[in-house]
Amino acid sequence: MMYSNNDKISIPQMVNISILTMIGIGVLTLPRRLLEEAGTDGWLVLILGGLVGIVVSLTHGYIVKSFPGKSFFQILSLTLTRPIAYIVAIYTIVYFIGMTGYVVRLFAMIIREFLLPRTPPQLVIFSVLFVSLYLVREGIEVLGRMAEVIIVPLTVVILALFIISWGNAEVSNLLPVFQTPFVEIIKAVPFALFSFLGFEVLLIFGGFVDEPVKSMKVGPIAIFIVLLAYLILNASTLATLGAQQTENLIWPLVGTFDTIDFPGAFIENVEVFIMGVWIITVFMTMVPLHLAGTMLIMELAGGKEYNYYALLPLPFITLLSIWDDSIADVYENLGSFSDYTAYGVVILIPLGIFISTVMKRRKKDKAA
Amino acid sequence: MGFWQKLFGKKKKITKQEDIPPTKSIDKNLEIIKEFFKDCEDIVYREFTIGEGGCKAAVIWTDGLADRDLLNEFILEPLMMDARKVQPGYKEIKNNLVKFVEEKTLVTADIGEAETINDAITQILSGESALLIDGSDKIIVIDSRGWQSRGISEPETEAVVRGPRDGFTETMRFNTAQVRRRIRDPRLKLKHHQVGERSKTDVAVMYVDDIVNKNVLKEVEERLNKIDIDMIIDSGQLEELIEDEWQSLFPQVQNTERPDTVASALYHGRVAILVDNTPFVLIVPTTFNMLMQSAEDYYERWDIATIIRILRYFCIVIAITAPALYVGITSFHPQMIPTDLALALAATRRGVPFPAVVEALIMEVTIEILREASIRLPGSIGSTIGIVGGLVIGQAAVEAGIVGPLMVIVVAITAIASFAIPSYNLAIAVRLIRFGLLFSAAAFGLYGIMLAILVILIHLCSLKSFGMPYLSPFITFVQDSSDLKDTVVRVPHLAMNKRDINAPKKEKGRLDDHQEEDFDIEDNIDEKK
Repeated sequence: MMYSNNDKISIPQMVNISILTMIGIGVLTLPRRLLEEAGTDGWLVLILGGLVGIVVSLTHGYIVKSFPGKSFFQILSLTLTRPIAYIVAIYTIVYFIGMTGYVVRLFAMIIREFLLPRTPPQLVIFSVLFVSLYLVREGIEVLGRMAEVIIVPLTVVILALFIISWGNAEVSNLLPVFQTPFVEIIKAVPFALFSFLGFEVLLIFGGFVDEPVKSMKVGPIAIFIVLLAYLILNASTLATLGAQQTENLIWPLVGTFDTIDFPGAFIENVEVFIMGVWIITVFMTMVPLHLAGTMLIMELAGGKEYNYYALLPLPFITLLSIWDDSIADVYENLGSFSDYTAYGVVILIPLGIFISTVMKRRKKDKAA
Repeated sequence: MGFWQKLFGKKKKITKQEDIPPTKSIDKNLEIIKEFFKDCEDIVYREFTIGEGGCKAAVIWTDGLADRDLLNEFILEPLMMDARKVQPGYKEIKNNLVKFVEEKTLVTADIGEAETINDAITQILSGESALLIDGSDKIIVIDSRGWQSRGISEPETEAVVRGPRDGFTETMRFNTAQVRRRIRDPRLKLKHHQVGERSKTDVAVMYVDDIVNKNVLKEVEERLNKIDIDMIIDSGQLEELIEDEWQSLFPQVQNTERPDTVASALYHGRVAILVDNTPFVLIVPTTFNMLMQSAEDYYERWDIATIIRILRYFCIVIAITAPALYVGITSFHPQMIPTDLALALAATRRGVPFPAVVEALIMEVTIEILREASIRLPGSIGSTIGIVGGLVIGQAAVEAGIVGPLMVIVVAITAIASFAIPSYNLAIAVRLIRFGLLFSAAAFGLYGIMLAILVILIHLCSLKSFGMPYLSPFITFVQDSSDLKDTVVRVPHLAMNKRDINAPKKEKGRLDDHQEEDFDIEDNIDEKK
């Protein structure tokens, strides 16, 4: 069949998956965190972070391109020898499952805050996990289609909301620029890089891309689009709320939209509507992470079908998602968790593979 | 065990009848055929002698299916009367009588030969007549089909204001002719199949040879050949037997009564499956987008058609979500709507003793009952039921304080919106999905609605129709961007210059407007000078 169930995704679909994975939980707090890190020069931090992200994602793309059609675990075994591959794969699984857990946890908390104050968060966690499970079981192909279907309407709605919010914007709120010392900006770059986390799914899904030759493009394009979105988001929030107010709100993005006043519109409180849109973006963050973890587990266990392996991480995700008590705890633990795992998965492991690949290639060249 | 066995167990294999070859003796053959047709009193046997002192012969047909005038004038008369009058006489051509009869005596348009008696019997039951001649082991089959049938009339389920008014009928041959009339191209192919072990229903597969998606065609043939069932009454049964996922609510095969729709689909490289005895023709592969299109979109002005299509997509969103949104907003997020409206809404709902879900369910179920009842009733009473049900019951329910007035409005708009969906089979799927959303909204408010929408989206993304993703071209809009011209929008015909995803790559082009690729204004001015 022309479109048989061969689990292939196109490059644009991969880009869309990456974009949607990156944009998720972080957007609600991003303007505040940027202010904390670098004041009104947050945009500079973002751009630098994005650039670093693009460089890192290029190594990911290079790895996928060098091993067309190979899964992440196969790549690991080929480059880092088998025993190390097992350890690294388990470490990566921990990262993906842990991230899924934290995303679900934050998701449940925010849903509770804005939509369902009286519903037990466990119910929210279970319900969203089951829907996630459904998509994970359908596999990468359906995820790719889903990302491509969602991205255009989502962009239109979000852009429209931002444009409406500019009605209350004060451009002078964006000033002053270039006031933060350069050292502090550099120090803030790792944080900015973290807000781009999610592009590493290319490492896992790279084996399913139908044109691996073009996989170097995926990361840069996706990060560039996300960077644009973040810049608009940050500027709109700052311009609408001003630095002072932004710093005091837990979720400043929602605050921005709260200022929207549709003249004579049917919807008075946009907050709920924003949450509706946000649910979709977070869901699309959660599923690729869940799927990536599932795929790795499946490969380690030697399985072939997602159906049962998709269930395996669920208890761990659930456990993680009900681990912490308060919002502050969650953010703190998420910070330390990503410190321990994200650097490894996003930078160190790809770097290891990269060096090993290059060295092997050199050897081959010498031998030839 | 017996219960589950009966419910889910596999059927017993039907033993197939063995083929019986015809013998040289007419009496023997007649005996066998009469044994088959025991107690079938609508089978007519006409035994006679060919020409002067000739051999015995018999014509067998089914009364009512065969054209009696044709049999009398062009088969019986030449064989019985004319054969006596003209040379050569029987004795001279005794040895190749059959050939002579076939070539020179029978003046009907189409004749053939049956290899076996079973074959002849099937042919007789399809309306043909069988001619048996003594001393020959051949059975001549004469095309004499001619039964009463409904004339071509306007398709009722897909009426258009502008566009052709002819619709398919129950006789497959008329239907293929209607399609053929629109495609005068030898590359339009037609292949026959017979489906149903007992019903032996004729099924025709039509496609345009060079622009059809070969994989889809192969898949259609494979699936048709795989069917092992006793009978097919309507194309709906066939649809369920050949579709990709019978568990899904969404129709994965398009059906239509309109020959112009079929012709247009064939021109785009799709495959049409025509089934005898039903005016509904199946078209595969089908995408969600195709089910949202109406034939009229192509006959009206493109800008208006575009607006109408956007309206339709808006309608399907309303039809799915409106009652759920009402329930979600009133019970979970009253802060979402303007304060004045929220207060007014609360005031009207104050007397209502039920939670919003129950209120919505009462009205939704009522309107579904009304809809079902009005289909059963004859046309004139049906509209009365609509008025009585819609206006009177709605008004009375509000006055009795069972439901709020806004609920009645929501339900009415939902019902009307679901009628705006062009294909009936998608509309009924939407009706059912609405209830699912209603319950999830009752449980989780807006969050529940979003989750339910996600589930529907995931399901739609996973569906395929004969290998074609159900949501295409939306799921590959970067590669197949030219297919987007005929989706939510309908660009002018001049701009629709490519066939869609079905057609093979080298056959994509379909229109050349004979204009320069880049028209530089200054160049044109220079030329004029």
